[in-house]
Amino acid sequence: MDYSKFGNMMERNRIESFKKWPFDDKKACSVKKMAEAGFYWSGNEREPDTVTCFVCNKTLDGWEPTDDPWKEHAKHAPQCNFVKYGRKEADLTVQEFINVFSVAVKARMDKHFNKTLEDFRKCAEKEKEKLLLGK
Amino acid sequence: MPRTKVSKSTKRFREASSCEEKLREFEASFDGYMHALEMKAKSQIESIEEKFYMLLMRTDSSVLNLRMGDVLALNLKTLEDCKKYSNTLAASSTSGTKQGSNKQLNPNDEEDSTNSGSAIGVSTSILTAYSQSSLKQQQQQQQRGRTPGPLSSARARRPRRSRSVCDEIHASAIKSTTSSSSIMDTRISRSKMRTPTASRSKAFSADRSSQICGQQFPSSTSVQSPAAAFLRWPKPGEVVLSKCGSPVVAHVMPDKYANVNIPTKNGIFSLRPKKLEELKTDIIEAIDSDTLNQIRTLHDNLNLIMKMADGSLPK
Ligand SMILES: [Zn+2]
Repeated sequence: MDYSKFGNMMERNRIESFKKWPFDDKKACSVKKMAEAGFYWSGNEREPDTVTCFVCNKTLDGWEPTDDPWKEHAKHAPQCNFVKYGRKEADLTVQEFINVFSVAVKARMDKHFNKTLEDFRKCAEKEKEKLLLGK
Repeated sequence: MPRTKVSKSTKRFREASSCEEKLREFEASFDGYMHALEMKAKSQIESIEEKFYMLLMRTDSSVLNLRMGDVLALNLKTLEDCKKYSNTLAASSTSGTKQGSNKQLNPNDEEDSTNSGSAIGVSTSILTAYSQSSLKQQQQQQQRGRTPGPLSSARARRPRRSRSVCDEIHASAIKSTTSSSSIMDTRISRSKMRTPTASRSKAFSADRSSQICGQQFPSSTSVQSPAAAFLRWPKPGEVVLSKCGSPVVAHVMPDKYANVNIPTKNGIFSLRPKKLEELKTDIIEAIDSDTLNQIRTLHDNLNLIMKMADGSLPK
């Protein structure tokens, strides 16, 4: 099975997403623990300790070695459906996984649509300015 | 030759008002486009919600209750593997699944195309990809349900959709009762919304019609709730008590699934979104002609909906 097409919806792909991470596997916020708690890497060279939740899209940085990913996730995004289950992928039932999956898809769509609408609004503002200047 | 003097202020006023008009026009059409976009977005989100809902509906509860860890441990290699299993499963199981197409789209396309103006079109393909992905997932999970070994124990443990204490209570109710076993046997196959003591009721009850609906749904062919069931509305003043967990509201029909409820002489005949195996002819006798006409209209309406759905939804 080629899981790569599922993107960061799958824990194994979230693990793969970490290109650079300041904490090793012995730390509370190791890559594995981060991925289990729903985070994928959204950092860069300059800010390597930046992660985002695949369901609620919450982005967190400034991690410390003793931080517990689940606890931080719950603290910063208590509304997240994945956090509400509070279990890693393997411990969810198929039904629960589909539920989480659907919430994540909808969140992405929402984000996408909002961006489209925002782009359209900006474009219209520009045209309006032209109209006003060129009267 | 004199001419009518146009005062400067009037001229300026005209210019200003024409500009204002243009602006108003612009804003009106902008609002229109914006609204159309919002509607389109909303309907697409609704359509994906619908797809997920149907996915959950069509998937057998024994599969839905499996642990993801067990499912993933199967490590299915190809989509063909999943299909093979899903096909053999479909042949042996009553709950069929719709096969998604094999088109493989990368969900991460999303990020690459956000700057283009066709975001909505793009996200449609993302949706398709995701819904197909989830179908694949489902096929994979179905295989899981079929494989013998440690998994089948998990399957045997949780044969139903409901994860409440309902099953246990049902089982103990069946065990402890001393009344006619034939009635009790059919209970297993009927709706779990039924209160366990219903058959003891002296009042006329839908349970009495077990000769109509009872044999229709032998428990051996269906572990889940049946495709159709008889229910009755509570009588005025009758207290509806749920023995299966949280209290029920009497006038809410069971499940959030689409269903058709037909009032008959023997109670409410409730059709669920599942394939009905067979139907006794005396059901027709229990439905009066007015109701039959109403069903006919409903049938037409449903056909209309399906025609629309088949026309617009991607296969
Ligand atoms: Zn989250």
